[in-house]
Amino acid sequence: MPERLGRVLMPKVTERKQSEEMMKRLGALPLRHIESVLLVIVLFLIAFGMLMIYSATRNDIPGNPAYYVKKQMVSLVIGLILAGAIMTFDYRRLKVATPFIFGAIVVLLLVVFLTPAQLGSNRWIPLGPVNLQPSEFTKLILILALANFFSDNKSEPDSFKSFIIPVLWTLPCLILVFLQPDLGTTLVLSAILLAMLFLTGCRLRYWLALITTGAAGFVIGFVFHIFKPYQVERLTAFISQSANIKGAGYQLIQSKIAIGSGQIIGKGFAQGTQTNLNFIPFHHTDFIFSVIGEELGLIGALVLLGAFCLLIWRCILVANNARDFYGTIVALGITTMFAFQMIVNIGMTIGIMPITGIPLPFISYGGSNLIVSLISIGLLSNIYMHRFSQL
Amino acid sequence: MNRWKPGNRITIIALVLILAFGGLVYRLVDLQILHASTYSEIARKQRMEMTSLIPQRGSLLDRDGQILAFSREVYSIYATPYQIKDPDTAAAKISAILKIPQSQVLQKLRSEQGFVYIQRKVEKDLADQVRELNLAGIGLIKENKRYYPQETLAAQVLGYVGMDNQGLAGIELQYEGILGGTPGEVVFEKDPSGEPIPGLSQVKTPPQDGRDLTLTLDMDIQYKAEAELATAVQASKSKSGNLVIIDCRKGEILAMANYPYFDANKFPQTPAALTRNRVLTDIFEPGSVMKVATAAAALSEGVVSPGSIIYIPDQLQIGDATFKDAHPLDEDQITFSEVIARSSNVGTIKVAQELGKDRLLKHLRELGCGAPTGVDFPGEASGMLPKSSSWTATSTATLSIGQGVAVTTIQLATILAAVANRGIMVKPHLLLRSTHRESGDSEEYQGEERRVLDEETALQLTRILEGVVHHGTGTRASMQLYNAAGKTGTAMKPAPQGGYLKAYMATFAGFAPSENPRLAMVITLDEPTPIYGGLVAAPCFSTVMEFALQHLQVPPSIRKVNTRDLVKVE
Repeated sequence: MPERLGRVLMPKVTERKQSEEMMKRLGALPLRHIESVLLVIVLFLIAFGMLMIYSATRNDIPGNPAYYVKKQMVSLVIGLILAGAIMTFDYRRLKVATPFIFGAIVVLLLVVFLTPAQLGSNRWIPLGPVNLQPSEFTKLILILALANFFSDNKSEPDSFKSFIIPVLWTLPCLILVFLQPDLGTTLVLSAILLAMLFLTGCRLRYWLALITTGAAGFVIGFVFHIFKPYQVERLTAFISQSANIKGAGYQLIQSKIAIGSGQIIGKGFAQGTQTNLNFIPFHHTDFIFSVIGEELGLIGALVLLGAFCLLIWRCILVANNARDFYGTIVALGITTMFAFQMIVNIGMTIGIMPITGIPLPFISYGGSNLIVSLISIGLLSNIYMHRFSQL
Repeated sequence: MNRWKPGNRITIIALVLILAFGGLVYRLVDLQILHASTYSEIARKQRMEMTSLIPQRGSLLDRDGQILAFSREVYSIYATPYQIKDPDTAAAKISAILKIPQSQVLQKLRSEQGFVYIQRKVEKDLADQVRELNLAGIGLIKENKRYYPQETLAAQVLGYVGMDNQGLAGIELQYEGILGGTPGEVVFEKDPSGEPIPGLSQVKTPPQDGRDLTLTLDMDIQYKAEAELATAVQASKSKSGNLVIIDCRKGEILAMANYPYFDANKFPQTPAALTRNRVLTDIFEPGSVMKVATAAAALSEGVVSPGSIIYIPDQLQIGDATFKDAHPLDEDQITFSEVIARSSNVGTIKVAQELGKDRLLKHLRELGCGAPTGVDFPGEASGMLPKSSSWTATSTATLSIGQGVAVTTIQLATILAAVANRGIMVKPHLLLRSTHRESGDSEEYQGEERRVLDEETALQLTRILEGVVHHGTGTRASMQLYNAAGKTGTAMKPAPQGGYLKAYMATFAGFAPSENPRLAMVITLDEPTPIYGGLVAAPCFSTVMEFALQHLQVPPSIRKVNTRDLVKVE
């Protein structure tokens, strides 16, 4: 024990030993280099989410308290299988397949308009007992498509071409998702595009021009009533928080009451009165953080935030250690996706972000989101595992 | 620069992320520590639920304790629409049990409200079936429903109660304050599953049940009265009819009947014309019955005595009006008693003119014309007595024979009862006593009485009215066992635009036994054929009065004056 501690504190590894170590690494299977911390955090988050989904929904279907948990378990298994599958080959092979996958997702985004609307939007493709939500998959596929472009055009990152082509790739997805309507995912896609442009060295004036155009589009949307009234209401609810007690304002107030009344240590698991008396709307999907805040208090909320911090840190680590630019860009895109969703989701439940219907990754109930998140983690692991592999 | 290094910009992004995380933590601390108590208090209040405890409404009983109205426990089924997961299935199940259209249920389940009744006041067995469905968002509330087991009996008198157990008509409305009781309040806190926490519910105020009301009505007499009234109305093809029987000593109303009748359980679906208690809401010109009041005034003022001889011309010219008798008399000189007995208009008018306008008006007022009797029933009409200033030259004449003045059936009954009661007028009433169901303590109705005629006048008038039954216009009112006194009336109905219609109200007002009066009764028929009160109303008086007296075990008259065997009925 003291010997090992000494090695950590004062590494006395000779250069020969170093090169031996390197040879070992290169000769070993990539699986030996898996990022175990990332996987532990993800499994912790999923377990956390399952418990909270159970707590929030155990009274929703009389006589079947685990209804939602069981459905989420099925998605979990599918997600784990797909994540495992994506780790079996070198991630760089995806570069070839990406254009086809991108084409397929655009087709699926068109197909949703042929399906009957659910909850007022064409968001799902019914596949027997489950609903496929293409917009969730669009997030990851957009990241891959943009990474393809950026890694192939890294020589002149600040040219107008390397600005406009990613934008043109993104636009069809953005428009189709917006028309569903799915404002939340539209915002996530925009965030991914902006972050990836920014990180790959887009000229700042182009970048700012894009933001300005987007903002102008929003203003036009408001003025010409392109947004549906409930969307406007939800977007503005957090600005004038006591103005509308019904509708979006009601959701926000109830969420704040639940979280605030959780105080420091919370009311205890499955003891949340606001949750169980159905005061919190969408308590297992968009507003699951309200349940966490109520039942587990500030401590539980901070533990969750801590876990997300760790997750994002490990994601950035993956980006940093990637063996090629493509891997770095993909990892950064995924990091952006997780971070943006987490911040906006938690922010909306506590009234500092607009209510947009973005799920909390790994925690919110919802199969497509969980599966995409798990595939993303599989992809990150793949990138990290291959950090020593030959180019 | 052939490879972009994202170093700087990653730092910027990292800073943005740290700021965002900091914002989240700051906001959480703000909500969960700094404002925690505020939100906890709001949350606690949201969990508190207040429910009112519905008091039991008092029953209505007849004077012998027979039930006329009572409240039964039923259930109202409601929905909290946003809690319903699958409205289509829920609607199908509920509509199958309650036998109401599925679309109607579905519409309610899909409504935007937080609370909607699916069906009010459902019987317990159906409610139990709905409860067993165990549907989220569907609930039951215990309520009371009013039942009238005697259905049509005294339906216009009893009235009805609305959905929320408030009296809306009749006795139910009149005594709402006593019958209704006061709702209690209970506050309870719900646990996370929505069930009330046992130790934490507190009854703020217990409900006060309503008191049972014993009415003056006698169910048997009421039943007989209604049956005979129906016969009389049908036989005479009248539009409607009503009658009232009053205990002339105590003012207790033993029967109050209206025809056509209806089922009290179906009050809300019944046209208002049927549900009206015409005995005291409808006014009419009484015609010759009014001669009782005119005679009372003339006798108490000493203008005439029963034996005064009065000269009866064939017709009487007053101003530009000519008065005649309906049936011209054979003699031209008769006593005042005969004037009343034969209902001579000319004779009565001559006496009234002798009496004069002021004294006639004073006595009519004294006898309660133009003012409500004060009976304990909502919506009593006061009748109509023209003001002194609006009297014309012919007013004294017309009023003395009951035209140009309007009364209610109950007003006539109180006048007759006062004559029967030796001049003392008792306020009529329907309530006998109210009783607290548990403690049994009861409160009697406090009657009111006043003298309106001196005893001598009342006795003289009684003798005169006996003559009406003995050989006058009211011989058909005579009974087998009891002497009766009374007066017939056949009055033209006033036209709405002024003048008179060729339509008549037939009335008989009387009391019995005349030597020791117990009951006064007035029966009014609207547009009968034949038109005469003595022909259509008097027989009904005879049957019902005889039944009522026997039912009350009143000893038959010993010294017979005008029983059926002594009376010659043409």
